[in-house]
Amino acid sequence: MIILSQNSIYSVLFLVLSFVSSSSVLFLLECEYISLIFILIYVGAIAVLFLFVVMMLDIKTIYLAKDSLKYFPFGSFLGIVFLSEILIVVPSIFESINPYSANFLANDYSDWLHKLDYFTEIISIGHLLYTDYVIQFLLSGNILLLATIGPVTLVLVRSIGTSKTQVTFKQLSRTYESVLFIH
Amino acid sequence: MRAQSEFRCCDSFVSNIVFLLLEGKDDYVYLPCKNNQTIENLFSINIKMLIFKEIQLLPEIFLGISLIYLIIHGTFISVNTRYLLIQNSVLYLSVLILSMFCFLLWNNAVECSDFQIFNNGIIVDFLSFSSKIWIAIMSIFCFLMIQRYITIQRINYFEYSILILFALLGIFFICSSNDLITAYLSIELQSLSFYVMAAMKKDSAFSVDAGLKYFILGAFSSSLFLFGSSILYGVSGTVNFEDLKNLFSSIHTEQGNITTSTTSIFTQRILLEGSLIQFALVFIFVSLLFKLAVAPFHLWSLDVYEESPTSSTFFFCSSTEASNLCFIDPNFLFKSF
Repeated sequence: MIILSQNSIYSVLFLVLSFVSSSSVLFLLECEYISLIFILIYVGAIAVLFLFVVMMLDIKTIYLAKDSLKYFPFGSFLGIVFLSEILIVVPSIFESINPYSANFLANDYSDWLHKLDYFTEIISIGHLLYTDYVIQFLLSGNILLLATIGPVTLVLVRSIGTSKTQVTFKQLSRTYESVLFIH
Repeated sequence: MRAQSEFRCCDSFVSNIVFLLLEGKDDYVYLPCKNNQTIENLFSINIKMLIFKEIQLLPEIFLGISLIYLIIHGTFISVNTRYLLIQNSVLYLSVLILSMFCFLLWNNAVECSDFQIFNNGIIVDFLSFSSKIWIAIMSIFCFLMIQRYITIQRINYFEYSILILFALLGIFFICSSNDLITAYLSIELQSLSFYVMAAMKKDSAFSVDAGLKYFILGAFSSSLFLFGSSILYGVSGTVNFEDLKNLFSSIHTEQGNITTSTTSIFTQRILLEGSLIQFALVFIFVSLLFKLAVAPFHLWSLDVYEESPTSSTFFFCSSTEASNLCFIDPNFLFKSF
């Protein structure tokens, strides 16, 4: 659907959907931290950036429907190759490594202590970050502060009469009717 | 007699507490637990070590906190319709902060011995202490010499001295870093403020050009540093210089009798991957020498140093070299093969 949809904004939204689904697969594999970071970075930053770029560029919608038949043989070839790879690899992965699992004596117990008392990844990363690596954490916070100060310093033009104070009344008295629309 | 027994009881109790406090940390604190020692003596040794061990970083923490206060102060005063010029007062304030930093550092010097704090990320030894003192004093003079240039060239931004202080914070952390992560972060803190300082004269096209060049080349050399350190971590499994030193020295001792069966499997693996370690070290060296502008990698420095404002150039030349040399000297030269 990312490739097939005619509107490019819809395709970016489908990209977001695919990111969310892949991160939910990671979540099911108990890699919470990586999946959350995946959502945060890919959906929060990169997909929104794509969305902005697509909106700014204002690309004309091109009808690709008649051209898509031309690419059908090559596309189906690629699809068959990947499908066969999946069919070869996946059954071999799901074969059990434990040789006794099919046996009558398979020791199939569940470790209740680990199920009751466990650390998730985020808890352990937080513990490490705030105890052992606190100096590195503070240093990276300083770097982020500097990264905000630097561009503001370079870009802000200060002169007499221009103030950067917040006028609350002016903000609140804006209505949608007075906003300039550009079509 | 009763009082004495109570005293004894209290003594062992205190020593137990101190022992429990110290138990979780891997350190080199001498822990006297003999009963015949007086309680004052016990306290004076253990509590002193307990307090002063992590607080050796007090000067840097002071510098960071006062930086944030300075930013708030400058922002509240300068964002104003009257547009007050406070760059001179902020400059003098930063001189004051640096001299207080020197004072705090000098206070620490009584305890100056060779030990590591903050999960072995920071090393406190005489080299880091002396280089920090030297850099702080020199940068006080730098500030006082820059002041007239800033006034004449009308670099009317109070952030200029704040950026210099940020760079100094990074430099002080480089001097005392004992960890590749700390080293990388502090190098980034230092160089990020230098990029902004190079581009500080906004009405001059040369200055903006210098800032952009410095930024691109600095990012390039930082990426080399990260690449090398990731390879080093992949081979050895640690980023700590102390652990790396132990690892490499054990290899050196076992290198002689490689053919005998006493060599551990781990050492054999490392020996196989020794060329990979050298590869990583070469990358790290190249990046640090790039930042130092040493002979094969010095061609970028001409452009940047010429085009950036003279006050910034003055600062780049004086402080960066000292800090990076201080970092390279002990940590790498005698640990590499």
